[in-house]
Amino acid sequence: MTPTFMVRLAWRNIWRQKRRTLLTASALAIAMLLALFTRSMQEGSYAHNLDNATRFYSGYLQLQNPEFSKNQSIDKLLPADDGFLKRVESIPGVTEIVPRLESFALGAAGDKSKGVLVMGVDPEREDGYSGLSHKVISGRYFKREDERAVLIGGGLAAYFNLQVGDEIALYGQGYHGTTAAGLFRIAGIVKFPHKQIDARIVYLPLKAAQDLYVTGEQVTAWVLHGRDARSIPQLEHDARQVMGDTIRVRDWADISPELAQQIALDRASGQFMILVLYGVVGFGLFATIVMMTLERQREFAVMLATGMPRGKLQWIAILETLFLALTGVVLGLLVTTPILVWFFYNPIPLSGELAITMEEMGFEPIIPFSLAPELFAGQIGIVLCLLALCACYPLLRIGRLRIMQAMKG
Amino acid sequence: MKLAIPAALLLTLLTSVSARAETATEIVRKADLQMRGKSSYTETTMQIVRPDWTRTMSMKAWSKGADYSLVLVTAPARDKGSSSLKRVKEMWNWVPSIERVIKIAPSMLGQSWMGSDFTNDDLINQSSIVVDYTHILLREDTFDNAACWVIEATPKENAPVVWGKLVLWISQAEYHQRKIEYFDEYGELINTLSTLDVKEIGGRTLPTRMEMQPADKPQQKTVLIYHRAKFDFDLPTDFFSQSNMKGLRE
Repeated sequence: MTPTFMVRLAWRNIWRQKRRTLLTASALAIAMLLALFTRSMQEGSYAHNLDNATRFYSGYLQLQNPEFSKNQSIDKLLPADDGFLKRVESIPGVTEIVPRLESFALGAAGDKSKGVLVMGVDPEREDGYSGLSHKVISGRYFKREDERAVLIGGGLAAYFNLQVGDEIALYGQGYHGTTAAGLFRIAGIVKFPHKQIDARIVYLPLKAAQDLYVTGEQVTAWVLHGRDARSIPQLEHDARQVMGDTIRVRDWADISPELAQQIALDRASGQFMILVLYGVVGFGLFATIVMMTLERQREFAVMLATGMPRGKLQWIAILETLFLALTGVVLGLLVTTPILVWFFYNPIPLSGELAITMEEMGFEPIIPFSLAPELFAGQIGIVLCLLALCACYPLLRIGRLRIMQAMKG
Repeated sequence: MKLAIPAALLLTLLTSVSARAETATEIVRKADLQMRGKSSYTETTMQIVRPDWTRTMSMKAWSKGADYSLVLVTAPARDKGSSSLKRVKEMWNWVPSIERVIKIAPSMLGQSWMGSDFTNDDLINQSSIVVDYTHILLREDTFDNAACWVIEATPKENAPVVWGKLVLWISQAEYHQRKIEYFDEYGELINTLSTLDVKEIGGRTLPTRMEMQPADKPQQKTVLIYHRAKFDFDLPTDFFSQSNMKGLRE
């Protein structure tokens, strides 16, 4: 009994009950379709959201002084001169680079005061990166040469009752113990997507921030962006290689853990639902296998009695299960792949309130799809596991088959 | 009659001993006066020393009694014109670059003055060491080759002070505060002030170099050096005004 013979036998065996086999395979195929569709949509959204959400704050990666993250001290900085910038630009895979000087200060206007987050940014680079100028709802965006002009968050403006053209004082701790103190004029008011930051943020041109904190040509972080979310691990590795040990490379999940957690939670809930789905379909597969095994007890007994080695019979049963599952998988892939590819090139556009909210936050209002090979591999892997589990049944049944009893009834 | 003479002798001895020994409070008061006089003017340099950097500031300070003081920063250019004023129980900071007067609340007294290891309390509100504490003479000791009394000062109830306890080394010969250990309310040593370089200045003999050393950061300290001083001259109380605080540049 050659292997080829066994294969042909197994294949023909499952088609002895055409409808049943097709039904089981279809159930598996539909499960795959639903699972892949959901996961592709999820992963597509995450990558899309990540690209947009990280531009406001963490970027894909940040280069920082190794001791900066301890307590965000203004004393722990990185150089911002041309030589350093050239090194950063040499990291392979980097698509965008923006400098940021981030610190705290006491903001005061009239007789009110409040702790504020000061963000020193390069006006042109920052606009290209996060579209800050589009967030201006009143007044104008600032320029590199502006020494005294600032942009403040809408929430902050409301708290102090400030309009464009009013003054705000910033007072805090500067570099090497100096006192950071300055009076600034409000050039524009911005709407920042996160309410809490909107109520505390003051944007300064980078040079003005460096003067305020007396840092000289230094920054708290260089923010880096890459091609897409999947290229981040490689980018991080390359950045570490190029920049060396004296510079700390942090990824977005490290800087904004709440974003990473949001995504992880959403992903986990999606995966859980899919596991439930596969569990249900798995039982369908199992039911078919059980039927196939039990209805042929006498047939098996005869084959064993006439000299077929038990092991070979078990192999045939395994192959039957395999072919059943494979049929389902192939069917599933045939149906799913064109659909996903179509959606990949034609993402679902959103409309209505959700779309407006997304656009305000700077996101394109679409649901993109992911064609990552890992998704497909993952689903096929799950099916193979189901297959392995189901195959245990005929394996055991045949293993324990008592020829005489089986022949009788 | 037989008992009278030894009794009288004993009595005289006792009274004279108690009459001669100063109370700890008196020692502290004398030392305080020695440092400040009825009115004073000083020119100082403050050096803030840290492991990675050192910053230097120049100041001028006026004081009248225990209730009035004005400190003006004259260098570096960034901080020039900043000043701190105390009138009786109120204190303010003037920051010219933001054109604002900041009232120093009692809760801020323990905060660092202009980034140094001296607190607002140390620099602007020094005098309470006599009035707000009770004093006990602990023992005698030497500091910088000078014999000193070691006095423990504990805050009186409801006294508006920053510290839980102070231990003072006051030189016996000249009533100079040579060393002060500052403890918080849990009894932990926070700062140590040492005074050195005793010299003639402004007609008095005083230590002209003060070093404030934080206990938990041995690599950092702040050094205050006195260059010039004038004592007990006519200084009207209305010199210590908010308009003067804002107006003085040097």
